[in-house]
Amino acid sequence: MNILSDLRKGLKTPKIYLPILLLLVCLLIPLFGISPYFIHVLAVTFFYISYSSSWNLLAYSGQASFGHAAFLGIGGYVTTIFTIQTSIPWLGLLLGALVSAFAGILVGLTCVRLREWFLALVTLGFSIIMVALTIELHWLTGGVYGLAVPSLLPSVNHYYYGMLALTVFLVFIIYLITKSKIGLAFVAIRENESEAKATGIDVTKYKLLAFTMSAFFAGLIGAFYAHFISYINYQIFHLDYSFWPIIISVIGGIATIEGPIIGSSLMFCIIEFLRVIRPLVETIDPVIKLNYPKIQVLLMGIILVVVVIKMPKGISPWLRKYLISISK
Amino acid sequence: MLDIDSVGASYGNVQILWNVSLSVKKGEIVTVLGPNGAGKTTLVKTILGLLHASSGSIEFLGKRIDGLPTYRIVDMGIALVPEGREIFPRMTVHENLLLGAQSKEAKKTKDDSLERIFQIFPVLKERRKQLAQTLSGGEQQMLAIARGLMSKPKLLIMDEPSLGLAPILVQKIFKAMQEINEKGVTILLVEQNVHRALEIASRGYIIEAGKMVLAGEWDELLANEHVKKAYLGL
Amino acid sequence: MNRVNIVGIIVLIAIAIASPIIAGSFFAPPPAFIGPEFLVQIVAWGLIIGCIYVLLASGLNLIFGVMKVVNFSHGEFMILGGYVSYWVSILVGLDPYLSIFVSMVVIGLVGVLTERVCFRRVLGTSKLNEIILSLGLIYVLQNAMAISWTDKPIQIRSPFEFVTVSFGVVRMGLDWLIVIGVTVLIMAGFYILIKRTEVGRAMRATSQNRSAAMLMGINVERMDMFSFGLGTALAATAGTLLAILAPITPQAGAIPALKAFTIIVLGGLGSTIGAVVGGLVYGLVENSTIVLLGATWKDAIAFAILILVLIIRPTGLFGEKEA
Repeated sequence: MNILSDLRKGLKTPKIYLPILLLLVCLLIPLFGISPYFIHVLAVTFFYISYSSSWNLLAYSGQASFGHAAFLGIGGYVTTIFTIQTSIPWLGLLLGALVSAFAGILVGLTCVRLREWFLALVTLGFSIIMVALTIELHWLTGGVYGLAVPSLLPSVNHYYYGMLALTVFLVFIIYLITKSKIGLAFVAIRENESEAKATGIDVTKYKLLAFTMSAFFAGLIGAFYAHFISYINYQIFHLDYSFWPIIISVIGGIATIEGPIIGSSLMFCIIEFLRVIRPLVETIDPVIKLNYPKIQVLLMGIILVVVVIKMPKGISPWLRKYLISISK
Repeated sequence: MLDIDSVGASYGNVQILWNVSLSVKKGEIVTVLGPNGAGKTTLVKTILGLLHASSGSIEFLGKRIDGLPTYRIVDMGIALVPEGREIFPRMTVHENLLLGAQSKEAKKTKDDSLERIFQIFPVLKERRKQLAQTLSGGEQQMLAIARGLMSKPKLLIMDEPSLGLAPILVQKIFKAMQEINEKGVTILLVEQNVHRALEIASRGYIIEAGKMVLAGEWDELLANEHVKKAYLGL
Repeated sequence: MNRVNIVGIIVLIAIAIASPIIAGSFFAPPPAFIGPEFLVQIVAWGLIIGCIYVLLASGLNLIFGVMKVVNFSHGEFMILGGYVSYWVSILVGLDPYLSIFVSMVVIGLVGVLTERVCFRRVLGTSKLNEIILSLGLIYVLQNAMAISWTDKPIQIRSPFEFVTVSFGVVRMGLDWLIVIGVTVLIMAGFYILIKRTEVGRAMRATSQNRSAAMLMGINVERMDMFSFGLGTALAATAGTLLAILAPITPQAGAIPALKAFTIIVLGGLGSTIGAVVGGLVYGLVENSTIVLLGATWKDAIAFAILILVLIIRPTGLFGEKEA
């Protein structure tokens, strides 16, 4: 019961209060009559937090998937098809996660022996093959037109709380995993694979385990996300869906629990900031047709490049130092 | 010519060299001896700027060279024949040799240098058009030395040229070294083969666990009790 | 470990065999009558697309060889090259085929700048950092292009747009032949530069043994810069030719670059000839796949082959052992 005693110790330090405070704020937000648009954007931000966390768990074991959208999409499609065919709600989420985990095992079997760039290519290739398969199997998947996903919850606010619960649950589970023996093995493999092997860690087993767990979580999130956006087509396998968790995690702090949260929040801030200043920009220069989503992505791209060059460990370590310095 | 003054060096957090001092005068053959893992190769890498000295100074011909990039150091007239030969495997012998001549001066006289090198190592002339990876171990060592000479170095540093070679080839290589020295090239020879090294060197240093433990003329070293016990098996 | 390999191999081979059969026999429209002229046409177009891949893969390969860096944003340099040629041919009125040289110089300089400002600073820190940096560059370049020139597809108008040449039963656009000619010319120049010049020799030396190259007195950082500039210049050529053959958009480069990387993995990382042969063969494979299985499989086929090969040989077909 290491974790419990850790938790008890944690409650005595101020460190634990920050997440609790954040959680409280998130719980209360919909009660203030904020616009459905804003609630929606926040729910999407939670989606990115949990999805990036699932990617980050794999990165925690030193493996970087460049096609995580494959698992996201498999989860989404499985729950959609299952719910449409059987009209049984909720069960599809678990099923999607399981099928995705199975796909994770298959991809993992190929990937555990590969070096960084080959691993990147194979995972990415898998997501592209999924696009072709989805379009070909149109009697099942609706082909290029995709499928309307049956709704599970009645309103945006419900989905907001659903997404929040899922995110908190996943982040906590992943936190527990990283603190467990498995997490230690992951770190050992990430730091130095041959050394880890020499100390008797079954590298193949743990790498495969990381793939399976990461795919399971991604599938679960993908399934819930499909219900949330109420429509799914092959675009769910798009490179963007594969690359965003990488960008978010790396900016926030790769292989840290808080990394995806920081990264997603930053992206949220950029989106909102751009939205707020939009009228201002248009009064200054009405001629320029500013393509807003593009500027947002461009900014994230620039931040990513700067982060990789200037602080390859992401914002998180820097932020930690800062928080420690102000708490003193 | 080369003056190393209390140099320290480390890989990451692991310090390998402590306070190493050494000097080589023009025209000499000086040898650095020591067991495996004593820091000999680290010392050589530090001289050539592949590794930066964490303390102390290195001077060549009166100018500080520590902190300079490797290509500048090579330009000033130091050539290294690295341990394990490090030839370019998928290039011809001829190309390997031409790559040795990078500085403007060396390029001007490259035909001349080639001819002289082929005199010392006639086998390389025969194998000029072969890929370097098809050469035997001894031939590869000759190529590595010849390639070092192409830059017309004032100081030639050799890191374990006898490693993994049959005794007859070792003899050949050491003879070639003497020949090269007679033509006016100063040589710093890093070796484990103490006997052979002290045969051709005028002075020697002994490095153990990253520290210089002994220095002296060749005959002094041969007479030293520690050297006798630890290196010559007497 | 061994059991894992075998299971992996069996499962993925099964998938690989099953998927085209399923796709081909059940879902694709019944194959049209394939006559000889149709076949020649497939081969011709395959080779032309192959030319683009040859240029793209050769540049990527050079950069990989010298710097040991995989530039995933290589395709964006290609598209940028296409846009530069497009604007040069429109604004200055230069012949599109001559604008290739302008584009090569411009993109080469952009490449040199990118190497100095971005890649040099992360080189050797970790493979993942390098890959993620190039990922960031994909987003920066794509969106910078989209903001400057919108997402609307553009195509370079060739002066020979409507000219066709007949060889017996086969009719080809004159542009097709010129594209092949230009590729041969550029690749011949590239080959001579790499094999016959002093800079080329130094670049090859750096790619074969970086520390030995340093010991020869080669300024390896300058070689990094040259190879990146040269590699992106080749990508610019590919981009221009692509924009002459078909419309391009700012997003059109990402997938071809990934395919080019699979080509050099299959053809042997660092092998000059491998990139050329691999590019042409892949052009043919892709084009036949489109005809036989439908355009859906256009992108998937490259990765299906790659995954199969990597299952059997994790270091690639002709992969070298780690130095």
